[in-house]
Amino acid sequence: MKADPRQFRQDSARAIGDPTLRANLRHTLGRIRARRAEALAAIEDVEALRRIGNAIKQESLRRLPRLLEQLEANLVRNGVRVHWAETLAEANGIVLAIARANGVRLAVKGKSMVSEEMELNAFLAEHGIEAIEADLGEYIVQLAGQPPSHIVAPAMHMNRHQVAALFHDKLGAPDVPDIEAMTALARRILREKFQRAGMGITGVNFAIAETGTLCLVENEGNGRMVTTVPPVHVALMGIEKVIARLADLPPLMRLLTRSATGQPISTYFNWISGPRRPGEKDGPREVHLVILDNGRSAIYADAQLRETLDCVRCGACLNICPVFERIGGHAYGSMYMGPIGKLLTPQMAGLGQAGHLVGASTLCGACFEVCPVQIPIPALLLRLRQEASQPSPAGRALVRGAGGARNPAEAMVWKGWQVLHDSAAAYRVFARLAALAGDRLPAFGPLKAWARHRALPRPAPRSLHRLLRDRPGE
Amino acid sequence: MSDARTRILERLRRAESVRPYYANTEPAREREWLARQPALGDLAARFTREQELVGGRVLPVAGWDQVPAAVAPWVREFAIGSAATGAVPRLDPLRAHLAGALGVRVLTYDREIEAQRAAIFGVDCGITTVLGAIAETGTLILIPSPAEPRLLSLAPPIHLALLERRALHPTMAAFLESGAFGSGTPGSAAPLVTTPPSNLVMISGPSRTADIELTLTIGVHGPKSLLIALIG
Repeated sequence: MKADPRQFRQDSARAIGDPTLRANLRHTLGRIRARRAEALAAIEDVEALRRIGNAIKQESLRRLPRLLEQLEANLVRNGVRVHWAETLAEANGIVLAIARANGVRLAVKGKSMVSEEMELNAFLAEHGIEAIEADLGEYIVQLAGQPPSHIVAPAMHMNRHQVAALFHDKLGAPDVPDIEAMTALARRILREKFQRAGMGITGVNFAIAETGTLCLVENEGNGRMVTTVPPVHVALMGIEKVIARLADLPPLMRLLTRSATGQPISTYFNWISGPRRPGEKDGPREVHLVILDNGRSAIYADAQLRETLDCVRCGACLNICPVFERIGGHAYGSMYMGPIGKLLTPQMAGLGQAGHLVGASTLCGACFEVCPVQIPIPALLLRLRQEASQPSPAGRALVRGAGGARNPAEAMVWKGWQVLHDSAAAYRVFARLAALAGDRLPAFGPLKAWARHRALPRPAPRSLHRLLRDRPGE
Repeated sequence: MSDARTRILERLRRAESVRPYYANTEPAREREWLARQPALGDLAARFTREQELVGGRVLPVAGWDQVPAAVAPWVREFAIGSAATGAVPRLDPLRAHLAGALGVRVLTYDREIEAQRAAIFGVDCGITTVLGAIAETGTLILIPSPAEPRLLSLAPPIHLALLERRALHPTMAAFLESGAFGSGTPGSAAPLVTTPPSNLVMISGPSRTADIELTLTIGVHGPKSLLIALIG
């Protein structure tokens, strides 16, 4: 299954018609929403906390280049090797070079959205290196040959029966939908992999500039295994993950885990500040950090769109979204799905590739209301819609592929609309014609497609202007 | 790739002075917000309640000398046949009791993992001290060291943690302000001057997942049981 945002219309239509998927999504999203609500109800003044979260991310972004340099200097002092990549190809090349230098044949991975962005597993496989996902959800979708369908719960589109069938098919397990037994099997298989792997690969949730520390949030312990047992650890992060101070961590963590899974804190919260030191008995001998741009610096250049980079990848906007609830994550054709994906994917892949994703929203605003760092997702979607159908207004940075989702027929309709409203005479003629023919509007071409899910407007036989003019007594 | 570095940083520097489109005047600090939160009450009680909510077990013990006798019921309940500790003299009485009266095979994790991997992955229970804990969320804080390596609290299916009551901090912020991580003052303008520990881990309950149908399942990759003696 190859992800492709251009297939969104077909893929979302197929998803809506899949009753199993719809039932699975209703079940899991119902649970995850309830847990988030419960966790946030237990603390006072959540709104102020969200403003603090937003302020921390804004402040970090305001100082981004300096913080990245400070992070690098401190990491290097701590013994971590830092690499920079402008493109996905560069990032993949860096990981491959590290793997080759260490004779790695097998790598184990913690969950990393950046590695999904890089399509790292496929790239390493092409070069003879096997990369195995260690997060249970990621392991399931990897076995199924699918991309993750959610940034926090990658296999949320599958139910226990589907996972059992998959484990039966791929691992020879009995086809019994027993969640504990399936988890135990994955534990057994992956424990052996952790010990054999030559390299561990993870993402980064927060990077602390003042100490040179990489923070990793996880529940399963796979993140600890991957960063402790193999001799080499490679961490991957986007440039936006850096924050200035240790003191920024508590409020961001407070928001992140409650918003993501409804936990006050994750089971494990790892702070990694370097490789195994002299005298230490375990831990990797090498730690590398790859800092990836891939279009983020262009997002950074725009004062409004920059807020996209506040995202802490909690998934709350996916969980609350009425569109995501109906189509799931795969239909978006991108590793970033749901509301935040509709912002990230078009800005990274270009509006020409993914411009229509920004239309897949009712602008209901639920995503903004749950976002722990208050990203104004609806406003940014509107901005991108504008960018998608016409070039940027002067003075603003161009989004890649601006105007790329321009539809000539739609543009013509709006042009006509403008002409009608510019001229009183034209408007009068149009209103008269509409009154005569409006209820017999033939539905064909684009109008027919538009009318398939909507009622066509029926103009009144007498317009409001006419009614006012003809009022008796005047 | 120094070229990539230069180009990325140049692009960011060019855009650095862009004024934020959405101004936020909230101070980027948690302190005032924390002060408005309800009081935590007794720290030990809060810690215990939060740990138990996530599946950990907490046993109050009067003092270090009581630990060997206090953990004996756990040894029977969890059928602990073998246990590993680091090279920590303070644990010698416990080790002696385990190996003697309780008949547990006790080993010491005192060589590099490459020489001890099978033993550490094969033992029933890893025993560690901890640096401290956070009462609000029921979180243990461990800084693995040459004496107590990382895998002791990760590889064995049972983790027995020894926590002193006086090491309880109310919140994560309070722990950071105690200066236990590096010697600088977090949040102040002064940078941290010492090298931070290579690894710090916060642990709240046994390993868990909810990746299949959002159904909570305990014991994925890390310990299936977390037992905590709360000493003092």
